[in-house]
Amino acid sequence: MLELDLRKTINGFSLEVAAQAQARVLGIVGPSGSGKTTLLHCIAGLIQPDSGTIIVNGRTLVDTAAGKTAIPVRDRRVGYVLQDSLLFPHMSVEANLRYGLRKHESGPRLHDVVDVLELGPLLPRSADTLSGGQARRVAVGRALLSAPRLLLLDEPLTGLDRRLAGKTLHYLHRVLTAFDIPAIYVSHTMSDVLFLCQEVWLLSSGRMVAAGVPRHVLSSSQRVGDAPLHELENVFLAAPDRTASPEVTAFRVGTQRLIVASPIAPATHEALLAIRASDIMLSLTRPERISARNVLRGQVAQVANQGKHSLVFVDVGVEWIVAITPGAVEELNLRPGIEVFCILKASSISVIPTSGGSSIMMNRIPGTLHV
Amino acid sequence: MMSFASLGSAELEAIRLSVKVSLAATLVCLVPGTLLGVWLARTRSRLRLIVDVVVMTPLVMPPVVTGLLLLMVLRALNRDLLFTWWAAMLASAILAAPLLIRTVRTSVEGLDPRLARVEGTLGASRMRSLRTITLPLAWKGIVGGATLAWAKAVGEFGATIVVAGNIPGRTRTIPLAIWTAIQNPTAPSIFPLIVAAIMLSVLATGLGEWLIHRENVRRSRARTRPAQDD
Repeated sequence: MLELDLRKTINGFSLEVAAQAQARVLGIVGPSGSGKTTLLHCIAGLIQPDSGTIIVNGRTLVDTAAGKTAIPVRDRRVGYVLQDSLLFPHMSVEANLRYGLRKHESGPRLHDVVDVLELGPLLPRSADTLSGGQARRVAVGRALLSAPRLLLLDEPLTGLDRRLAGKTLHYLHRVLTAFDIPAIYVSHTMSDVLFLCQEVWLLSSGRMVAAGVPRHVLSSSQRVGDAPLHELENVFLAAPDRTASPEVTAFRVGTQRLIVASPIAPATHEALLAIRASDIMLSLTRPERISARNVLRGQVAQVANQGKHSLVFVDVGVEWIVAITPGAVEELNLRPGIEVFCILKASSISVIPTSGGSSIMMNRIPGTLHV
Repeated sequence: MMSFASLGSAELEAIRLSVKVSLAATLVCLVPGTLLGVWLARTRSRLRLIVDVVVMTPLVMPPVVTGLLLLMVLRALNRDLLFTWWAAMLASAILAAPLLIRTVRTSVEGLDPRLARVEGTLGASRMRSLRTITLPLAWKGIVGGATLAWAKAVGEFGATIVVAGNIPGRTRTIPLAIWTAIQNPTAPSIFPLIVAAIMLSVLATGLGEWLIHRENVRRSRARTRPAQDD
């Protein structure tokens, strides 16, 4: 999907990255000032690397050696969603969305984008009247409609409160699932990257520190992004369990049931759940007479010891990351393949309601707007 | 009221000529001045400093000197233009343009430079981005700059008298008519001309403010719906 080999020095900061990514959605993680945005700017063509090559889906965007190839920004077909949405404030939402529409090009259609991002009610609104979360969605839609061959998402959750960030994350997931466009998702936290991306690059001070599937990257570094590893959250989508008694709210995780403390709207098809890695306890036997509402059977996939914390990857139907002390790993003799029970309180699970549900994508109703 | 009753044909002619010369001068510098303002705000060219100095000089130089320079240029290029209303209009335009250019430039510099990046990634050409994003967002600066330029053109005196003279009915604008009247103690009251000059200036500023106010109201109406995040 992406082949990079570039060097760029700006104001004393030097970025040097050489890597390849095959995944449909690549996550780039690193603390502030690690060079993430500079890298995106090089790919989008907003700045030129001092030397190197950038190849996206087999198309050479930049090659400083071969006759100085440098495709101009507007011909790169790279959709770029910046942190601050940057909608055109004097236009309506619909005019913003239509701005980048390319005629005679196959790309996402307006009514599909409006559907997936649930922008219908916003279309006539003036862009400068939107709230933060709405503006992010419109910015994503606008980039999608320019028929990009690569979508760059630069920290699209920054500045949103937890609830809105969760919702926006869910919309991004829908977009990346519904439209067949490769994407690079940049973030300073790992939890959202684990949810969206199949491959991760870890940057620090302008250099690549680790690359590969998320589990590999997590196992090989003590600190990923701004948050310490034990603050990682397991973020995943789950459908409500209708067989549970009406007094409790429960979700299905694989074949098991997960009870949560907060009630959900009756019409919820699906919700985004978040559990902190350090809020899960592990036991080798099924505990009895315990106050915690959830005991889920799982299998250890990998154990990564990292000084103060150990990360245990447990498959309970989805893969959870559990952060425990190295002492506990030793005492329980945790290793890949063994069966464990994950214990967690109902109140330790955050439920982020997702509006409308994904039913829209399943039964798409012909939109009233046609491009 | 008594003042307007005493407006003679010569005064009316001066007012008519002032309106014509100042409006023409504003229109002449509107498009190139706006484009130059945008260019100065955006360019990284080394020429920028030189162009900036050349464009801004008429604003700080004594108008008589600007007039003399223009006189030399017109003598060399086309003597027929001298002492016509065209020369008066040219002199006003050159003195008024810096106000337009400076205002447009400040306005464009105030725009988020990242918007230009977004336009590029959406495939917009420079022309399209100028037409659909930069100019509409900088319109307050353009309207404000144009009204300032108009007001300046109405009051232009020093350069006009050098290149266009003070010919009644042809180049005698309000400031020149007032000056002529001051020279002649037996002349009728200059009060009507002073009122006319003030009214034109107030009209120029008022028109600009009204245009800006109208657009602000239009935009705030679109903003009345609450921004609820669902």
